Amino acid sequence: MIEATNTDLNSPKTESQSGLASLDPRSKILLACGFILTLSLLPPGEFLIYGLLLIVLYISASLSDCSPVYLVRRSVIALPFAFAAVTLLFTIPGESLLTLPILGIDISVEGAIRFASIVTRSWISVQAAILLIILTKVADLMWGLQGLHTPAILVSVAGFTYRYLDVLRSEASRLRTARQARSATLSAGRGGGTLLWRARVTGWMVGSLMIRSMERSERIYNAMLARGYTGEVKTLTRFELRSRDYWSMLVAALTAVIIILVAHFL
Amino acid sequence: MHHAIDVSDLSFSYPDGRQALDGVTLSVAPGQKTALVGPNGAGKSTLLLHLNGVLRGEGSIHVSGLEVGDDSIGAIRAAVGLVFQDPDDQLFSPTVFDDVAFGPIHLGFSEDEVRKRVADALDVVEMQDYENRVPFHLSIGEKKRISIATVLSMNPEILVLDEPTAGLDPRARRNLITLLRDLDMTMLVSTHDMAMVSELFRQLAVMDGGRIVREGRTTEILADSDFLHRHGLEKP
Repeated sequence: MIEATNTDLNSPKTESQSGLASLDPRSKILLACGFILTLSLLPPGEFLIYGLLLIVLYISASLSDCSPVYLVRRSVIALPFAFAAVTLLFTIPGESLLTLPILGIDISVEGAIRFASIVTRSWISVQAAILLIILTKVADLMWGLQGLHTPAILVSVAGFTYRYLDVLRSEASRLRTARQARSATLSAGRGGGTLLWRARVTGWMVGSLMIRSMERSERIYNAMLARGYTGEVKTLTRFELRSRDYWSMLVAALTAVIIILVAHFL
Repeated sequence: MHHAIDVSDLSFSYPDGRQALDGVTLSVAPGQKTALVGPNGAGKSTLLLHLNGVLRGEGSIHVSGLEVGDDSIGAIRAAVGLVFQDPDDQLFSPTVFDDVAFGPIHLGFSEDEVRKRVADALDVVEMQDYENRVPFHLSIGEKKRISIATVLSMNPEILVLDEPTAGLDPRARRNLITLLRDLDMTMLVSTHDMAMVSELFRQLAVMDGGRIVREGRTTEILADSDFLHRHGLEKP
């Protein structure tokens, strides 16, 4: 469970202090966003450059004590979303690559290249985001986002979502256990009720989970008010930008500009 | 000299029309530890939420000599440390440090002062090594102690706790009782734990149907079996 969601801030993955892990969270966020922006500014079909950026990412990961294999394993979860671009295969006009049997729809060469480019770039971007999360404790990530002047409400919502994810999950599993405990069947007859009835019970459970969450949010808000909350989340300074932060951002920015120019004009 | 807590003729209805408090009058002297008992739905939690202005009813509430109102709300919240029943409501930050620091940061203390207060508060509840832990991964007993630290770090005059021993195993309960006994401050504690009441609190207030039905010495009230029975309570 810890590996899947990284909910434990003390998991060894975030203990690394070498390479990127030693940077200020703000630098790490900017570097990750810059990396993803660079990827998305590249023209389609430049697979060599995509590969180069992927290698850069893997080297950075390795230098920060994070195995590229781990990145690949965790990135698989995001692949299905990249397939949202599947319509490009059929809608971009151009030379026909093959015709789908039965449906009789053409897949164009240009469409295939565009599709493959989007899937590749999304996959690399997801790995960059995963690396950011692995190398930054969630509390520091929130602090970094706030330091970069992300709207306070967004940071609060993200922070609370993270904090209460496990609470909600255990509440949902208590509801499920309660249902299972009473889901008895008699050996003589068919048990379990009708499909419609079971769907309705599931609906009630979802509704009940929502009401519990709303009530909890009310109680948390009261607990915050009781300790002086006035609508503004205040935090202590945790990090300071050092020369290594400025240098790595400068080098990354220059590299990104060169790569984008090369990809577009050479 | 003023009372630490002085509530007079306080009434409150929830938006759905349910009357939770119906003319509550209660006072707690400085340094006194008072228990608040009564059946479920008697209005205990609602009353506690009024003590630092989270809820506002009709009637008057004075805390440390200040009347609870818009002008005094900041000072009132600094004076009253309110600990909620479910520690998962109280502990909303990603780490224990952030949670214990929340109150002092909002009070506007310097960074050094905040760190010192966090360290001191965790020291009092004997959870010094937990600063970087994630609240969700703690046991309920640990969470309760951290919850108390989150208000101790604000250095309140009065500690108000809602069912502090609910859901604790015997050892965690015993540790918590020892902690409450050793804390030398004014305390108002709502609870169903009658054994703790007789052990720890000399003063007792009994609530039922949104009113304080009796206030006095714990030994006297606990000796009145008929009275306890009438209000759904049991002798420890």
